[in-house]
Amino acid sequence: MEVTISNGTLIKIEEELETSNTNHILPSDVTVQGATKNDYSRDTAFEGSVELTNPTSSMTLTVNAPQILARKDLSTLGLTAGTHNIKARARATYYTESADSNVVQYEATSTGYNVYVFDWVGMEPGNSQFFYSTDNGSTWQSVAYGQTGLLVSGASQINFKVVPNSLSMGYVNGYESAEEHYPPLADFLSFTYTSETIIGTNYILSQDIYISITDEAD
Amino acid sequence: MVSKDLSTFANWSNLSIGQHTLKIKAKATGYVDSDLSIGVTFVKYGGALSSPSLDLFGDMLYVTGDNNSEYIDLYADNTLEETLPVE
Repeated sequence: MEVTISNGTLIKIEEELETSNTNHILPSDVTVQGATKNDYSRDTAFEGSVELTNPTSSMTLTVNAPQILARKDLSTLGLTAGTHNIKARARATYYTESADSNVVQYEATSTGYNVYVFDWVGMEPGNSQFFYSTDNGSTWQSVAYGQTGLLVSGASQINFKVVPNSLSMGYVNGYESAEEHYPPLADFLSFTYTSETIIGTNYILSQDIYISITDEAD
Repeated sequence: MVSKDLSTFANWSNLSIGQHTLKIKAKATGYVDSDLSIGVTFVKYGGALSSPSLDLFGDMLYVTGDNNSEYIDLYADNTLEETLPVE
């Protein structure tokens, strides 16, 4: 007997006895496919497919599918490495906020590196528009013009794109340190008096990187 | 003067949660009913939402619970990290 649950659906398995206690679904009877949870216990929710490896004719598998209110990849929260206690509260207009949910413990690991913008050279507001990508150009986010500090955390790769003002020239470079532009790590892109969009060279991060952006008008 | 606790209306329990408009008209034997009054708005509140339930699989956190919820506030170590709109 196999029950396949559509991707993203949360399910619960419950036992339903028909004749005697000997017909309990035992943990050893259940195989979870495509789920990250390796064991089974009553009323434990997971997603994936479920297979009973030792079904009997009197055994019934009941699947409840509670509505998922929200989901979140906790690795995108930028939590520091270590154990964190996660909880939630529900809100709605004309309702009183709920009490706290149950608490789950999440083990955050350092999965990437920080990218900082530490220097803008020759900047003139309204000039070129800069973007960055952490997925090799599949999606791009805008770089706030003139803003320094942490650009993105937990990145495994980084690239830049520029939509230049035709009256300016410049480049985007990356360094190991923010001090004295040294040592250099990556030359992402350069542009000279053009209005054509230029996409830089994708760079695989092995450490934090500090970015200098030059955008000088003629 | 007439006063009335709206929550004692017979169909109060059937009234949806949210904002409503109330109008009245005056009646008397031998008189034609008045026009409807101007409307006044009132809110029927829904009480407290039930607590959400969290399940964590790897990095993915799933929130289930009260279907009346509109937003989920997500906390890490008692610090609000993000507000998730209900799907």
